[in-house]
Amino acid sequence: MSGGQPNRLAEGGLVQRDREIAFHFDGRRYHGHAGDTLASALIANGVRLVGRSFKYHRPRGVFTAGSEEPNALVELGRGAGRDPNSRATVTELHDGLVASSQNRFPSLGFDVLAFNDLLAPFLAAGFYYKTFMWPAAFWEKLYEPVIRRAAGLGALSGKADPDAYEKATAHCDVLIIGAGPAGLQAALTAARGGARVILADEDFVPGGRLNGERMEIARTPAHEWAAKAATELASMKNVRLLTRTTVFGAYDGGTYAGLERVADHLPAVPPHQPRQRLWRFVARRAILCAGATERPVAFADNDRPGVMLASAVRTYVNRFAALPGRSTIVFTCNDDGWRTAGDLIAAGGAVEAILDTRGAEDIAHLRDIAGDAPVFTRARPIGTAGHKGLSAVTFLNANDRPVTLSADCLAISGGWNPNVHLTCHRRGRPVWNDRIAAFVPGSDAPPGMVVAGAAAGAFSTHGALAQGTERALEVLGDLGSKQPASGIPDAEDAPYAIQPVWHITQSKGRAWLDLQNDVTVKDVEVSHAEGFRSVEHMKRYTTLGMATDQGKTASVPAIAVMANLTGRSIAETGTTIFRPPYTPVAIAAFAGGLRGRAFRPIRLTPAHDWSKEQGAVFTEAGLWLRPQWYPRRGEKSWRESVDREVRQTRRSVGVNDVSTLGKIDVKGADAAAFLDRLYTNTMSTLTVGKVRYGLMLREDGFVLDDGTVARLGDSHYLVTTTTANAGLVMQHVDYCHQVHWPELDVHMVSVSDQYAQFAIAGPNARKVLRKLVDARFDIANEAFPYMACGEITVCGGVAARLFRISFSGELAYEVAVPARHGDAMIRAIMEAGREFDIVPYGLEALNVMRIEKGHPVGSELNGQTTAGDLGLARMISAKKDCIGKVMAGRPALTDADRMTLAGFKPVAEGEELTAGAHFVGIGREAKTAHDEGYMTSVCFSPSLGHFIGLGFIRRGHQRHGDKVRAVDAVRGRDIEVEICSPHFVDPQGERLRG
Amino acid sequence: MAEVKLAVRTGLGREQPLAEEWPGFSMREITGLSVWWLSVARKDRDGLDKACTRHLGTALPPERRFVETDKGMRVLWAGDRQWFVIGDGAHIPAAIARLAAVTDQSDGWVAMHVSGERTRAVMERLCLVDLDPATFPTGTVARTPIEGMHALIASDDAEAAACTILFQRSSARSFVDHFRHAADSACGRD
Amino acid sequence: MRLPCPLCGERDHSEFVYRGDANVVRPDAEAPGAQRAFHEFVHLRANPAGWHKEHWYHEMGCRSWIVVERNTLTHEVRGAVTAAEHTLARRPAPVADEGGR
Repeated sequence: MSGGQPNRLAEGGLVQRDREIAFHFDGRRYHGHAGDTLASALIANGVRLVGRSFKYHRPRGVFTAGSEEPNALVELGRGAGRDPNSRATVTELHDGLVASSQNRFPSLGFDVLAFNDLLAPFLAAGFYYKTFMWPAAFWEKLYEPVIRRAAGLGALSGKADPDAYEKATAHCDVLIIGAGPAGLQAALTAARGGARVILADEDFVPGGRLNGERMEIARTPAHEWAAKAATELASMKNVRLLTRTTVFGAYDGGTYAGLERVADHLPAVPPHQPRQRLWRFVARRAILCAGATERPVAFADNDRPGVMLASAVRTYVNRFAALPGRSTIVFTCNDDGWRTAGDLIAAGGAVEAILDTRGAEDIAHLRDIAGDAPVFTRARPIGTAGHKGLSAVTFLNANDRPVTLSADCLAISGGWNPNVHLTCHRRGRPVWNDRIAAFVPGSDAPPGMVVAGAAAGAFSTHGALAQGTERALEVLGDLGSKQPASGIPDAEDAPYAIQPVWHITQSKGRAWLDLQNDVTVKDVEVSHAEGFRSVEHMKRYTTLGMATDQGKTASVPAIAVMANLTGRSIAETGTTIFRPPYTPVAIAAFAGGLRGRAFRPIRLTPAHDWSKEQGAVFTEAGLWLRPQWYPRRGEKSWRESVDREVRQTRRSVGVNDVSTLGKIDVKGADAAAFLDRLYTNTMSTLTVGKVRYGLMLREDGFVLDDGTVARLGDSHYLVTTTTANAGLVMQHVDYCHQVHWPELDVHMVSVSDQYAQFAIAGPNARKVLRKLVDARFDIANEAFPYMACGEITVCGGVAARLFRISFSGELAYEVAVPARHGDAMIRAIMEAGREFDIVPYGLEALNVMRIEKGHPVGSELNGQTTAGDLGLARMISAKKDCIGKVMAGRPALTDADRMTLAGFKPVAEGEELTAGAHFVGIGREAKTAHDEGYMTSVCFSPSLGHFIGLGFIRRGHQRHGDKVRAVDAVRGRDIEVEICSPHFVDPQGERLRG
Repeated sequence: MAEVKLAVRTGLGREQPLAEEWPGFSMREITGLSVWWLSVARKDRDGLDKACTRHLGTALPPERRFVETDKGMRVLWAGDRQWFVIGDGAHIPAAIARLAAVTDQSDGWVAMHVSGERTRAVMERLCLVDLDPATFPTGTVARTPIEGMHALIASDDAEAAACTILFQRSSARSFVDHFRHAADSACGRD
Repeated sequence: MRLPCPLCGERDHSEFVYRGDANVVRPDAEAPGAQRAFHEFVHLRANPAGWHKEHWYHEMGCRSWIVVERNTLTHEVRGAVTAAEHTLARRPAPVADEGGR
């Protein structure tokens, strides 16, 4: 044995003995080698205790050598990057690796919560449905918090994930899942046939079981054959070989998802690299070569550290040169388990005994493997001893007498389960195969997927190689590719002989099925007794199969136990539904680069940089960043800034960036007719050079959006939408055209980004504009009246468009220039407006001014309001149909008692209003039955000197002057308000037309 | 008055076009392009085809394809009876404007050229479509999203993985940021 | 899921927006009983378990509305045509003004 690593074998294994690696586990320093997993290194160092079980806090050791591990869950790393519930069996050892055990306090060796184990009779399956029932109030305050603190395995750091993640898409002809013998052979065949191949394996070394077995392929050690195949594949241009990549899900349409652990095996994530990469594979065909997972047998106290799967024991010996035990007992019900005995002996390990449940005649052909080790036939383990690690096993011999043997390792083989999971991800079901006593893929695998090797139930090496070749040739035929010359290399083809045993019924005491969630045979019996007999109910009632290992080593024995209890066959009992992911995937991997600021695209207007220079405070309006206000030095609150912007605009002139509004260019001989069908009012009567306000309804009669339509030519219109609904309206107009009226000659395209657009508003707006619009265009009031529009040039020939529309209620124009000039334009406007003290104003000031004018926006166009509610019923033309017109006429939508738009002002001076308040009559109880409406928008009006609001209230348009209460239960306010006209400032609209 | 000359910024809002390099990958903003959107009614499709042949030097390309004229213009298929005509600032001849709806999109789109031996590695981190030369040969164009943003990808040279990409101006900076991250990861940074 | 845009080719479903049953036809607003017909058009759907012709919008691609034939139980997709083609093909009489007036 190597010095310092007491259980490291002197020879053999695939670890790199010349590369020693130092690591820490629970604060102690150990050494291992490159090529080790954390589990193999711990085993080599003689560390047997690696965790405490979930519920009972029982001491646990490494159980498997793969991703199916239920026990050896550790916390990796430090600080923000702490990674709980990592399986030591698949964690590559690297320099500086720091790991700690979980779920124990204060230490692994001494865990006070092991007390739970003594309470086991009270903590059986479903205990929380039966206890903690009374008193009811204690549940939320006492029981649940206590249970939460005691429950759970690892802990998150609680900090933001410091690493980067990435997503990528790869297309191929054939996706081969698993690089064991079947997968490697399938990949070689498919690749030699010219197909585009992606081969993915979860391990860091391709080869699958070939790396853990002492076998030969084509008279070479199997792991060497695997390495050679991998090298050939990696050199082929049409092959992408991905290691450390778990294909964790099969989805519709030939798409598969994979998780590549790019940097988890490195001491630190290299700069600019992601920690993990989520792959979307789009494959015309897939060959599932996912292998099989061994299963244990349940008997009393079968969970001690040192009890392991037989194949895992020999994997540690063969691949990692690490000896799990000085004295090992092998317990099996099938031929395959004997390999562990043979491999231990070949490596110089001691086999204390071989226990086989079968009779002498069944194992006669295997006797030679045992060497000097005693063989017990018809042997059934009924118990173990050793608190922090196995020390002895007691079993019934062929004469039913108990025998106790010392051992520090028990290698169990209950048989093998093909890894059918991905064949079932689209609601497929596996079928029970009696010959191999296992579930195999059913006939309902995802279209395009075939299965080869152990995953299909072919457990011999030859079987894997042969099926890998055959499936690949079939796939090549499907794809119309050439068929390469292919032979199947020589390999063992031992028959799989098994007499399945699930539970040693003679054993007394708790027999474990699900090690991770601490579920025993007794729990399944309770589930059955309580009436939860279907496997789906058993799973939820007992929590068997619900832990991070998803019951990979527990489900089939549990199904067998339940089958026995119900008197049905295992085939009839069936499995639960398999769902992605096959192994856990970090949420951050699904997000990839879409995190933080990059979560959604940020849309910036052409004037954004200028606004930023001015120190604007921005807000998110959908994807856009819009200036909310432009604070001046010395201003102490946003109100100060906003009030100033409003006053200055109404007193002189202000400029607002309105580039974000949706703009749709509409052309075609039928453009006018089409717009008439979309808008409630008539657009075909709009003359060239004029703009009209328009209302669009949804087909159910409620308002969809409002905006303007400008007629720039006979067959040329420009439609505007609100910022928030731009995408929705584009979708809507495309739908109406392509689905309802494809015969119409109309052409629509978004020009939202094409133009930068600025609103210049205020009494001096025209004067500012005169300095920008080229002289030959007459913008005097008569030449260019309210609601006029036209194509002009500005600033010495730059093509532009001018619209005389006003949202603020002041004399106002909107000027649009191609976006490349947007930045220069805002600067030119500001320069031109300097002599008038022009002020840039943001969304808040805009909002104040439109509330003062009573213009509805999204708060009022909330999807539940009709044109009538908004006081715009007259905008629905009686002369033509339009989208939504028929349904808008439904009795409930025209009811006289509906809540209609009104203005509100506080009765008491200086009182503030809040949006969201509900209106209740004075003296009436504030409850839903008395609810008359709600406030939608409020602001302080600098023009009036008090708060004002807009909202909907029953028959609001008839109740001007009435008083009601505005009750805001969320903010605890209840004040009297007066209903009034929503048009607070310049109700006649004189300023507009000046 | 109106003596002010309005300065021009690129689609990315810069004074000079963006040009960035990684080992094996470069991306370069293309400026000075005119981008016109053409859309034609079914009845005028054939007429438009003839007009383009006469006035632009090429017939309209079929679905998913683009063509270059000998005057250096490019006509790209962009949807159902829709094309983009990309040039160096020229206007669309009147004969074409009579038959099709013609709308200026020059400022709504940003154009970028990507190339280098690591381009495919960069693009697979961003793009959902298969850019392998066998499925996306030279002369192919696809409208497809990149990280949730509209994009149009044209294969200039499939073997060399050189593409021209059009994307929307308002989200251009987010778009380019995603390319930077993908390039950092795919190429490493010096 | 992958959808076969008839113009762009097979694409990931994330490029599309789903709407619903493509067999519903917008009723005649002038016909008697229009309100009931519109109510059914807007609110009622057959929701079959099995093959379904449905509208999807290729928002992030060519912006065509398409009619996809999808099996609602298995997600098998067996084809798609443009919505315009689907609508025109369903018109009872030969469409004299096909392609515009």
